[in-house]
Amino acid sequence: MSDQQEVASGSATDGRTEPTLGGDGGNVSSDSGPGAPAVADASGLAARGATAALDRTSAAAVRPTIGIAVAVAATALAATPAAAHVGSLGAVAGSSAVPLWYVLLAGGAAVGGSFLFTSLLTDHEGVRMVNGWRLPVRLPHSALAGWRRLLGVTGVAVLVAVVLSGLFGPTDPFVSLAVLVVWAGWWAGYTASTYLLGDTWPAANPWRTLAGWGTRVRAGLTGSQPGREPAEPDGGAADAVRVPLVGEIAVDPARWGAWPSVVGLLALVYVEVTTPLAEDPRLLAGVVLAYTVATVVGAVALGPAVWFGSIDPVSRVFRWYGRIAPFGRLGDDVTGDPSDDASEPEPASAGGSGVDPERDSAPGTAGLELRLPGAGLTRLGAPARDETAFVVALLWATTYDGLVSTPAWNDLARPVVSAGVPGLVVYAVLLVGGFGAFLAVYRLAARNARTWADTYVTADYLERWFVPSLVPIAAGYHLAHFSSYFLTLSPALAGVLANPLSPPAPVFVVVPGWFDTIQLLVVLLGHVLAVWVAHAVALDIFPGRLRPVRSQYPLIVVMVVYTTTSLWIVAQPYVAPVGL
Amino acid sequence: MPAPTVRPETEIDGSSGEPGDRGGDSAAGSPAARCRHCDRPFRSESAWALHLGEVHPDALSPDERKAYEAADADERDELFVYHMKVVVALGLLYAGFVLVYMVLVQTF
Repeated sequence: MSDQQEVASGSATDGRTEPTLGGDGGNVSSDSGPGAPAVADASGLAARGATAALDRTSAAAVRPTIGIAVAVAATALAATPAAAHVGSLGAVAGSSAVPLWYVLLAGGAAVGGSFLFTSLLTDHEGVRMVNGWRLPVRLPHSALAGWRRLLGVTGVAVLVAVVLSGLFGPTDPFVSLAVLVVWAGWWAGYTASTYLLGDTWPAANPWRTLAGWGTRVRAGLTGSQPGREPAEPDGGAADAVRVPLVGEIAVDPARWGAWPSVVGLLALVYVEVTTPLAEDPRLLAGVVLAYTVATVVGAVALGPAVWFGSIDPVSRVFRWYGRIAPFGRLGDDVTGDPSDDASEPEPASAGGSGVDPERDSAPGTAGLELRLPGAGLTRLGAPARDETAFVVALLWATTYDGLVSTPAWNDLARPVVSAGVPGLVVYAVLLVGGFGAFLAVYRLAARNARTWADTYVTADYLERWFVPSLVPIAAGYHLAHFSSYFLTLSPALAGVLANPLSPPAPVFVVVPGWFDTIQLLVVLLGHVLAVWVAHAVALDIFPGRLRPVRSQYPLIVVMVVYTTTSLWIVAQPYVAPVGL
Repeated sequence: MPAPTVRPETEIDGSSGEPGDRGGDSAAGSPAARCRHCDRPFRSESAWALHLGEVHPDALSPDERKAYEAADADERDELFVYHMKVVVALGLLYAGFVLVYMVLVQTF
């Protein structure tokens, strides 16, 4: 971690640098070669951007490219940890000839307006039909199994390559397979595929594959049968797990619900923000290795179904994203719909048997369905209570990532850090406090929804009922933040993949200026989809047509505030987080 | 099309101590009506009638059918007024933004 960094001064460094690959950028910029045009091009854009209405973000008007990252790195000459996966949206607000407040206002109004539009659609049956539409794609079971196996082996191979490259490969992030694959390939590209196409993570997850092998080895050693773990599916009894070197410990994952993954997700974001994880291949490899050990040991001890179903944060993120996607497993929503009677819904995934339901589906269910985007979110019923906390954590993670690099936050944090409070503590407090605040605001909205809908349904239940509608917002921001990052780095990624041992000099794509508009639209699209999902689930729980519409008021207010806040955050010039 | 999923409001509270419970139009603990099929309580007769017609359309007694039709007609009227307001709001929103933008273009 670098010392306290001042607000990067100078137009170039004001630019919001999306690619985090700032660390060793200095040597790259001296590369004449494919990198150079990008720099030149970018400065041309900067000149153009300087004439934009917003002086403050003049350089932010520049489409963030590696060129910019290089310029930043060359000037600031320090690792800008998490320089962040925040966004290129600074460019959006900056490059348009309209003032920031108008962009914010329009963003909020677009969300509010789409609520007004959906309120015109009040036919329960019709809305349900739209979201219930599905086109089954039946596939031979062997083809699916082969595909799954291929994905599984590929996942493990990629994991091994990442660790090896991170440990022994080049330290320059621009040619490091580890950095490019993890950040551009996986966290930007692959994640986008989970909500744009479908969640393939249960098959591709290398840790799941490793844990499957581990379980088999363990079963061979102990002579027990895999798939016959003694855990109770209904979460009744605690399960005693023998941990090597520790002995028997009683664990009851069903009781923890989603909380382990909430903590895990926040911890991952914290590590990403407070360390140069995206620039330092060695550190990245270390974190990946640590994650691998923790995951495989945990999954073998508790069973893959429990671990990846309820504890592993990454799997849960992709599972939520996958519910937006147009492709899903046929009949998947059945397991997730707990609302057929008055019983407390099970955390469907936390069932404790050793078999891995997401992987070892029965032959009869082999197939995919094509559905409308977001439709998967409307068929869930009320998820378990702690899923609310997880989805809110997912939203907050996006915001936190951006917030720490705004000037406003840094102005706030600087006195605290100067007073001697360690930066790591300050950022941890912000992480936990902000998460708590987000959760409190959402809970307040649910309480108000109860009043507006004039219903006996508890606020707690409504909170869970409406939480799927928040997921498209997170996905929209993810896509907006990472699409240009992915496009910019994709040639470098392809180069490194084609020739891992001696990667060619990195080539970067300069994303055209109109791409900003696309990103803005993507953010709004996420919110509009969120409004639609909220509308659909509201119609599903309240009688009549006015009660469902009115029940959404508080949630819409929260969404509008969230849109505006997030657009504001990403429109801020980038500042290296103080105290890190 | 899959059969419409009946999603009961599974968590019922009749007490007034519940956070968010504003009492409604019935005394605490005594709902205005209760569905005889799924035992769900409602704060108002109209919500109960609408629920019956939407969720249990094939199991209505003549009285219940009458109540549903009346509630539905009432809500239809209310909804029409509501939608008028929505359309006006959308129009104002749109016009407002166009106007503000025009002013902006002249200013900057």
